[in-house]
Amino acid sequence: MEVVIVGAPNVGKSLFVINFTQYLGSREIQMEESSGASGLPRDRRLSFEKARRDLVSLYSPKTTQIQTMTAHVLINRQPQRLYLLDTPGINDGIAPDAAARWQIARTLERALTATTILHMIDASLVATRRRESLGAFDMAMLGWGRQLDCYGVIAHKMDRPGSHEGLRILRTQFPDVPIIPVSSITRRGYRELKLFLVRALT
Amino acid sequence: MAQFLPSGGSTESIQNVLNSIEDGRLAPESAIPLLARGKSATVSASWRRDRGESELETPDAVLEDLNRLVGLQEIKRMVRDIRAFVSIQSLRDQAGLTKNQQTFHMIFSGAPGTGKTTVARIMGRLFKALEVLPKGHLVEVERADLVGEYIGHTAQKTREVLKRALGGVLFIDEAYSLARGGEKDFGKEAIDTLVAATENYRDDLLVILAGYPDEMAWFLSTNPGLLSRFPLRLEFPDYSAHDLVQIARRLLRERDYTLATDAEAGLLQLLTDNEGYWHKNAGNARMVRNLLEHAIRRQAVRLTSRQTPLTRHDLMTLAWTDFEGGVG
Repeated sequence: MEVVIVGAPNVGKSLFVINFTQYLGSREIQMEESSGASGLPRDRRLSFEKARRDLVSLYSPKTTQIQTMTAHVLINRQPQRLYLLDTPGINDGIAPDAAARWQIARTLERALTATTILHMIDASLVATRRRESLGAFDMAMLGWGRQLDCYGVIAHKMDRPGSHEGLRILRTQFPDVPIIPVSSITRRGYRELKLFLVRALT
Repeated sequence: MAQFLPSGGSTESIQNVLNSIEDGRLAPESAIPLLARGKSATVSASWRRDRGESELETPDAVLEDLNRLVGLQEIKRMVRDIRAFVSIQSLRDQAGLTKNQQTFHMIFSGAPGTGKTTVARIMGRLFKALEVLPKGHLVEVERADLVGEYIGHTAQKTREVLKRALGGVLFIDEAYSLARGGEKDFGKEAIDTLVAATENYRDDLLVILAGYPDEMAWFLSTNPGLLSRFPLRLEFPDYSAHDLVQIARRLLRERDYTLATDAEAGLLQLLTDNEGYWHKNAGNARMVRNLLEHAIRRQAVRLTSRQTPLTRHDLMTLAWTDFEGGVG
């Protein structure tokens, strides 16, 4: 079962995927990069600390390709493999770089066939006028998502100031979309998110 | 996959959109509405299929699947009757006539491997296609899933199972085991909860009790309420030798094997000779499968010990020698 996490750059997709994998009880990160140096998928095993150090950046977008992490959840008491797809952040407008455009196309392609799409939004910026606040891409995703029954919004960075206001705005603007407030620093909302996924997958 | 696409063109158009993004002709935010139009039909279908549901199935397509099963003539006739009844009832409803309150809870009796679960699954799909059940999924349980360990636990466990099955089919395998422990057994509590549910969720749940014929007859005699609440009784007869050979042929075709002429004749002879003499619950499709798996292993041994080069034909063909010794 595939869960694709999409969103604008720097909303916290990579850190979330790493921490959520840890929350689900994995002992290490088992990751498949969509293309290694040889052009073939590459498997890597990382400790959580190393993954956080290598894969997450505080300021500039870091993820440049789809990374698949494997975790397990119990569904009807059976462990089911769950693939969490960490994707490069998608900016509004046409990307100048051909490689980036290729990755965007692959990300959307995977989203089309995924079991569930999780759309991540930085809740602390929704109420501001920064570049990362709700853009055209986010609006388009939300418009698409409300037609799907396998779609959820993660209001991320709920530990930041202004995030509660952002969450309130999201909830009033999109009352028919499931919105789960999450913080990957405090791990708030991981439990709700796991329940959401288990429900969506059964 | 292709059959779930609403029209031929949509995979193509998705590919076009993705290509346009790669070429820098389309921004992601303008691509998504285009993809959504293609996807809402395609992916929600594959999503549903992942969950074992199917969309837009017509009753005829379901009956077609049923007809494809080997044998089971009596069952097929009965299912066609049910289908006709439901269709007419809904027409009567549209015409403003009173609707018969009919319950469709069923009892399937037959030896293991005679197709009970397969037919139950088809029933779920049929009732979904006929819009009698909203979801039509199959929840398969047995005694251990219903009966608890201490007082009060059973009703709770049973209700949980019922909740899971709501909107679809609850298939209780070896249902007679619920009554096995006698008066003081918790199984009785499970039966009582079930019987109540068959009445309360009449429109939202189809309960099928399944088990061996003798044991099921005894089970029904233990609780007088059961007979009237499960009005439809389907008997799954043991397959005849002829049916079993046909099943064998079909199983082999799925695995890219064929029967040599002598093997087919030998198999038919073997099954005919033993018809009625198998131990009581053996004359079934599962036994045939075991027989074939054994033969496939023996064929592999025979081929590896051969010196001459192997052709495609050799790799596909099971000879009678592969079967001999693999019976019982």
